[in-house]
Amino acid sequence: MRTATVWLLARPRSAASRTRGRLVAAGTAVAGALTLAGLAVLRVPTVSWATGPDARPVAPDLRLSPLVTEAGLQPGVLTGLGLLVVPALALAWQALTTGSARRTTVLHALRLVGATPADLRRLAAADAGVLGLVGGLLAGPLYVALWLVLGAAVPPSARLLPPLDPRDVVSWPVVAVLAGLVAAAAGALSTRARRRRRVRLWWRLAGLVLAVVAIAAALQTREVGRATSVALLGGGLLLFLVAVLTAGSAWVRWRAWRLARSGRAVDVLTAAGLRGLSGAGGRTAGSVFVAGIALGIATQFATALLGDAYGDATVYVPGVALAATAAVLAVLVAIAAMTLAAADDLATTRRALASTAALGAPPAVLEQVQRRRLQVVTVTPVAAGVLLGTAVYPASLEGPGPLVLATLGVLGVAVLLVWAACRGVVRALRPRTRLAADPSSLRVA
Amino acid sequence: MTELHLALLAGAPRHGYDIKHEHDAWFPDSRPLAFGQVYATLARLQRDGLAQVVETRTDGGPERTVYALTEEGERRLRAWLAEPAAAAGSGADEIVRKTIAALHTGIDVRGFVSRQRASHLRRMRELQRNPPGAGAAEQLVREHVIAHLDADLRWLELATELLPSSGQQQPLRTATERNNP
Amino acid sequence: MSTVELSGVSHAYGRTQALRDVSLTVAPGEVVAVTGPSGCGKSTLLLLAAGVLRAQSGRVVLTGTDLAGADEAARARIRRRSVGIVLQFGQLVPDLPVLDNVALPLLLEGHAPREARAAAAGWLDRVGLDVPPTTLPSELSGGQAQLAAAARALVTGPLLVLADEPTASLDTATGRQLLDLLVTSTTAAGGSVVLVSHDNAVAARADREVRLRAGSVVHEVALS
Repeated sequence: MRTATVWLLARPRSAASRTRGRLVAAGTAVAGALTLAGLAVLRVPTVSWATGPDARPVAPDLRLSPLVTEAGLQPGVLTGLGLLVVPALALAWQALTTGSARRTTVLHALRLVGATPADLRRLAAADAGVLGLVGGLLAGPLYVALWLVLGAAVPPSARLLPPLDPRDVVSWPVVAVLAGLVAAAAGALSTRARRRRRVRLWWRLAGLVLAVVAIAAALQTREVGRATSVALLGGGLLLFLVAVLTAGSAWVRWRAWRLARSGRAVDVLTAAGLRGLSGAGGRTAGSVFVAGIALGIATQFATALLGDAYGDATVYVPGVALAATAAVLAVLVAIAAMTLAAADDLATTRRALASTAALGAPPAVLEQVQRRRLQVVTVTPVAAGVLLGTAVYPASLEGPGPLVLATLGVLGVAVLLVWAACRGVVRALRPRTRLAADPSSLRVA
Repeated sequence: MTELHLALLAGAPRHGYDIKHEHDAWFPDSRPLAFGQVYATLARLQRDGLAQVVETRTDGGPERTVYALTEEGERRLRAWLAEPAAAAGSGADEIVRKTIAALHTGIDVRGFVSRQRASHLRRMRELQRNPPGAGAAEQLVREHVIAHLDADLRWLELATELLPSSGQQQPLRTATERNNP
Repeated sequence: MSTVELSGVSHAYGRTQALRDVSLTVAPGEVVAVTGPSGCGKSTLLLLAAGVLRAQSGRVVLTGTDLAGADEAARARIRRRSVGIVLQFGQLVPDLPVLDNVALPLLLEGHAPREARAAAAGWLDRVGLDVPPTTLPSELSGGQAQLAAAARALVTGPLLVLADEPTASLDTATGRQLLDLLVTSTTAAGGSVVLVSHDNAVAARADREVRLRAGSVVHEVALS
């Protein structure tokens, strides 16, 4: 296959594939900008209070928030940034693999005419690599915007990002090229026929325990030092996410099985839809769950701050705000990823949908099915996450009263918001549902 | 009709009245067989050595002569079924008679169906090859025959699906078997 | 050397046994019809012959290569050089214009896009598909998609054309024309055609009929 042919075949043509390209680029851009932010934060020298209040070896940089200058707190900020990178990458990956069903069709059609596995890898790598590079290049301007918001626009004591630096200019192209390479590799990987490898429950449990231990160890910054702490936190977090995300699809399949048993038309159709998207659904459920945990932890801190347990509370406000923003963004991105998967699923299953409609299912039922499917993978996980988040980190020094109230409040708001977001998404997808259910979809394509 | 009577006799020795009823059961929507025709055919079969009288019953009622196939008759029946019906397309009741007879008697059903398919397909193949210079009208006549051959084949398929093992319900007893029970 | 030879091939999807100990040899220039009721294993036989599926037992030799010893890349190369496939549906690459879809085997083989597209346009013309070259598969009717798939199967001048119900979504006249084109243009160059169909008119185009039932061959007769 000639290089010209690779470009010819990899070029996006339909509106759907252009949207997909934009989403991959956007996800990569966000992840890239956050990586640049992380690198900038890592550059800030930290001070340690370890030796006691009267002995300060280095004076902290007073132009920045203590969150990034204190050795004990900086890993937390990096964690927050990391938490944001993961959903952005998840969105990019989801967009890249756009619904396994449609991809399977394309790959099958290409294989049928004699495309070798290497051809398929080259095509996907070219396609994704370009999108990743574009995303990486966009990461630069996006980082500047981020710096304006988190650095320049706020008073010095709340600034999370140091002033712009020549080193940022160097890291930008490096991040851009890396993003392109990673995206190309991801694209190549996405063509591999997925073998269903069942991860044993106990490996998952072992992974979770290991992740928790690593995170706990990372929080003991004093003993292990900053670099080790960040490494442990990153590794632990990654392990935790992988464990949660793989458990997600199993949980979704279990929910589908339960729904299918009820025998009600909407439930049975929802179950079928969930089984079809158990991968994407599981990732969404996992991301929302993790976001819930972040929200829960933020709630803890907020309660403690409002109780004024730490004296000068304003110092911690940007941290809590960052965590909460990260969580909300993660929820939104997770819902966006699920929406993408659902829209793609609509495109691939339009025949089935049209015949279901032709069999007499009114459009309202089809929409209800979409909504149920989205809500199943978001509402319960976010609630479980919030509860776990508030229970896991004993930050409150006050009595449990305010914490319980705050938790209930956050839980209610989070569930309501997620529920409303699902409704909104399905409402936004209505034209596509109508189009998919249109009798013209019954034609063979 | 001679061979069909042989097929009707193949299951068991029968008298004329039985043969008429068996025929009417095989072809429920066809014109019922007239008694006169049954007896005339049986007499001819006996004269040609294809059937023989095995007993004469009087169960209180009228006297009844029971006929059975001779070995010659059975050979004749098998030869008839070994030959597919002419791939004529329309008005071909022969394919119906042969198929029903084959399915009822259970004589090499699979072979019969296979030969019949091949015969019909060969004819369709010939007809699909339009000779150069054939006019539209000629082609339409051919298409008519092709469509009927296709209908025959579809019916044959259905028949073999619906009556796959009727041969077993009524196993053929050859003359030799009857003589040595 | 036979174009394709399956010997003692069996295949199952989970607990469903699709083919049981089936053998089939197709000689160069021969047209073979594989017929039988729905679910008798016809399509599985075709996918095995194309090397898309791997036989779970038995041997498949495609244009002289034993597929058991060929990895996926090798099978794909044989397919794009020597085999043309027409399926019932789901075979055109979505998002790829019809012209590029037809040119695909040539493009994958490394031909220059300009040549490949010129050849593709020629075949689109010969199958009688008259749509703008930039038309997307989703904008075609079932019958038009079928014509495009036939053009793509023929564009490489294959040694073997495998067609699964090629006329199912076409009217009688168009179906007859397409069948003629598939058979005559392949056999004229010494290629073979395997037609999988439950349509007797399609079977009547073949030199030989192989009839399957419940995954086994029930009869095999020469028609020529």
